[in-house]
Amino acid sequence: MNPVIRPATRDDAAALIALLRENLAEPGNLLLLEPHEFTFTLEQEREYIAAFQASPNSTLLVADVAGELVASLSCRGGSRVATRHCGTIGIMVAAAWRDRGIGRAMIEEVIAWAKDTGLLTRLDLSVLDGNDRAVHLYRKLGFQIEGRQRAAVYKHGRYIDNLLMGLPLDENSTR
Amino acid sequence: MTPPVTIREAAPADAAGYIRLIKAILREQPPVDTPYAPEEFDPPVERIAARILDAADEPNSLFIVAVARGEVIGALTCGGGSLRADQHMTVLGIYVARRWRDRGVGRALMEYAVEWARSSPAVERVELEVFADNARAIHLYEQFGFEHEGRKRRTYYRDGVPMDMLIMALLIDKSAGSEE
Repeated sequence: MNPVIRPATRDDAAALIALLRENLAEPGNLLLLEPHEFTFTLEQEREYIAAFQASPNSTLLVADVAGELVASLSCRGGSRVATRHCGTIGIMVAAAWRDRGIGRAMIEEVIAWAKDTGLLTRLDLSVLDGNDRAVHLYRKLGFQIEGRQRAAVYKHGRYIDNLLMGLPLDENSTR
Repeated sequence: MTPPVTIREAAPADAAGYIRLIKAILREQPPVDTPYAPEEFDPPVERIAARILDAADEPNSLFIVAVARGEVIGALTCGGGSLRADQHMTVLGIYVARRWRDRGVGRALMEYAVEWARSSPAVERVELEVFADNARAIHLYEQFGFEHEGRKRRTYYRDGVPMDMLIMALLIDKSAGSEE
């Protein structure tokens, strides 16, 4: 069954929390949070979703399989004049649903959405060094590595470099 | 620094002076290198005072001011990470009043901050972003050991123009027995 990719609504709050908790519980996960650092209540999660809905340069997409959410992608647009053209992406796919093109489909969807907004001219994301499959996917979708923050993340008992990747959406315009 | 300039940790009573400093800098024409528009910075004094107290409490945060004749003429903040994954890291920002530039105030603030970072057991990485065309600032950071880590393309608008930002960081090895 193919997942349906759609914007999240407040009704997705419980399923989104479940998806995140499942990812956080996974040994070797590459999320920045430790399990105990995620403390949102259901109502806070609803407000988190509502903030995306209210922001014209932000979106929160989910991949829905018969009511179960198997992936999410957040794109948070900047809130200031200097940064509102830039959306920062975070993505999470449930372990059982990886390697099926869901991440790719969601990123393609968000790139198309971002161009449609007429507001966003840049997308960026960060990925931990060593997550080669993710880097490979982002590259194929046009992102380029823009930086390497050395020892920026402490995870699983060691320091890991954080790779910064960016995708200008208005390459044809000039500086 | 002709009249004496004191670099010291900020106290809550410096909050109003800090706000005046930042507001004056944000109003400058031509615009200076800052990610804020003038109308985007209008915090209540109490919020800045609380931030000053928080920074004093947190081993990976710092809030210092440069004071001349009782006036806050420069400030440097380091905001430490709050997660296990990033609490070894702190993000540096620096402001100097226009008439005090090129007089060593920025350098003095940086000296204080780098010394603090080296001596604080919590800090292993100090990072900053700088507009890619700000050669003087970049040179100053390089002199303090900050290394180039990347260039985010067209990531900040300044005066209607998308600008590249450089990512720079200073790593401080705190593992036992090693000397940075």
